[in-house]
Amino acid sequence: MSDSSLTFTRQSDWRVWFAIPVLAVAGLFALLGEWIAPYSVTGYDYTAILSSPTAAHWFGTDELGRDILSRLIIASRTSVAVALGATLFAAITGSLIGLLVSYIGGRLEAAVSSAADIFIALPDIFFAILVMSLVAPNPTILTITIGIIYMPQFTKIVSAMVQSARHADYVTAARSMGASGTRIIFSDILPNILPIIVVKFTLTISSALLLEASLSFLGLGAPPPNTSWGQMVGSLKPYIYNNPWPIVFPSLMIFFVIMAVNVLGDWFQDYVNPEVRR
Amino acid sequence: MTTASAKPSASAPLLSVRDLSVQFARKDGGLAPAVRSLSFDLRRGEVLALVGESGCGKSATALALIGLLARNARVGGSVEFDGRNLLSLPEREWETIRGRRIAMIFQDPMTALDPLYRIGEQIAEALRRHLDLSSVALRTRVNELLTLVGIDDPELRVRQFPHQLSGGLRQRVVIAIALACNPEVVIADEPTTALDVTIQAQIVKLLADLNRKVGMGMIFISHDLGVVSQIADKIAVMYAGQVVESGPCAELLRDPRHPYTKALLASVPNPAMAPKQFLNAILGTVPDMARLEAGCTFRNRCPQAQEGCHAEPGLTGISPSRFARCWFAETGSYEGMERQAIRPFS
Repeated sequence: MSDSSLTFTRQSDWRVWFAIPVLAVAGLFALLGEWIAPYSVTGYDYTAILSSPTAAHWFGTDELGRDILSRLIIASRTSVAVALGATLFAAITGSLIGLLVSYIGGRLEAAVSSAADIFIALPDIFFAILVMSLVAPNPTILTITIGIIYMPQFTKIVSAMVQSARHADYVTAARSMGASGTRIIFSDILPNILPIIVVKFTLTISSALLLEASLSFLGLGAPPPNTSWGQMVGSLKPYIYNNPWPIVFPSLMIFFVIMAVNVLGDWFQDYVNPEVRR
Repeated sequence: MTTASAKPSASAPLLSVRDLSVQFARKDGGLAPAVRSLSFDLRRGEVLALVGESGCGKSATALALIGLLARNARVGGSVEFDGRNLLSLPEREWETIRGRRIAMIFQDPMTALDPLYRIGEQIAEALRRHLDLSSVALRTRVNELLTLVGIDDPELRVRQFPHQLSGGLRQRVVIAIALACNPEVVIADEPTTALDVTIQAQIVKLLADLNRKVGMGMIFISHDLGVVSQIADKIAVMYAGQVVESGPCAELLRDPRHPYTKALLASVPNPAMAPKQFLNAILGTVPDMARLEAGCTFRNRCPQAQEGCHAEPGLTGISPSRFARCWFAETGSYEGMERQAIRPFS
């Protein structure tokens, strides 16, 4: 039996050492892009078109001679904001609907649950393409569309978790001590399902990043002058045989950020579990 | 044994249950009865044991008494407590009674505690809910409760999480939570079933001591007559949702009148039994409550069943305090079943 003072000593974990720097860099890029980027987004350099990494252009240049590193930094804002915004939208609305619906229960819950099932069965990208080709795309619409796509997943998870948590003995025990319905939802049920929501949240961030990248790759994302990592990969794709270098960097960026998010979610799941946290 | 109760039991009953019935609405629109016309009185300082097999309605009774039955339950009859009928109480008022005046001890201490909160926090939570205590008084009371339930080193325990405690300790914590606000009635739903036998004896002894010290009325639900014999003042044996026999503990155990009670007594394991001898089991199974036939509910398993048992027996008075639901209750004569004396092992 460990002394409770040991409970909070955390061992250093490689997952944290990997994820935090990657996400810090992405966050810094997203926040301070214009000030960090060595060149402007529209800084055409016709003397270096589709160049490999050089001293002047560390990550090379695109087909118009624009600096890849600068564009990568500037693009972070759209990629990160859309993914984070969409996930927040999905998590908050989806979880609240899930909590509310399972609190009310009965037919409403069954109806919402079936509707969510149908929606989840639609391929993400299909719904996104449908919406984005019907409206004039802009970053806000893109964010909300992606948010709506992931919302039912939160609703399903939360209502299923509440269902099982509601019948947990400790919840009955809390009720037997006179705790009210709302008190139980917020102090017993929510904390117990929160780790799952947070893990789902991080997984959704990576899905949203990937979905945004896919849409932008297809030219259905935020329109120029907005740029995102996916959009860069898409616009560099035709030149992959001329010079594969430039396309490597935005692709790697997507890869590392998604991996960092997933790994951090994984670590968090262990961290909040009192049985693993020692 | 606590047959010599601290307080006289001649006073007005604390909890008075009359004709309690619980039915569960099924998906197909039918009703499945779980408890049928149950009546008993519980006095201050008294321990009433509800005994029976799984599915006989013990837990449904417990949940009805604390107002926590599932939504599809239909309840009838009355539960008189402090001049009010608990069964018609709105939820708002229930919340002021649950935990404060009627509390419950749960069966499985492994799941009855919230894994995310420290022990001290969980006990304090119960106190905070009903009593207005300063943070110092709260701490003192939490430590006091842990000491009361026999936990050493409360200062350490309050900072621990449930998974850091053994099953016996957790059950003591569950008991401490139930006793936090000095309830008048404590419902213990199989409080020892999930524990090792040695720990069981400790917990039963603890509950008996607490009952004597604190003087609350206790409803002790169990399937184990051996355990019950150590703590109960009165016993009500339940079968298929009904009380089939009730009476003072010692008397009922010495001279059981219902064949089901006799069978239960005969199936209590006895260390004096010969090695490798099989335990006495009651043949057959509990009838399906949704498809009860008329007549005595025990007759398909009863060694003394006769033609006349197709008519339903009522509760027959054997003495002013003893009743049995059997056509042969008065004589208690029967053949074909060995009667075994039960010896409390404390």
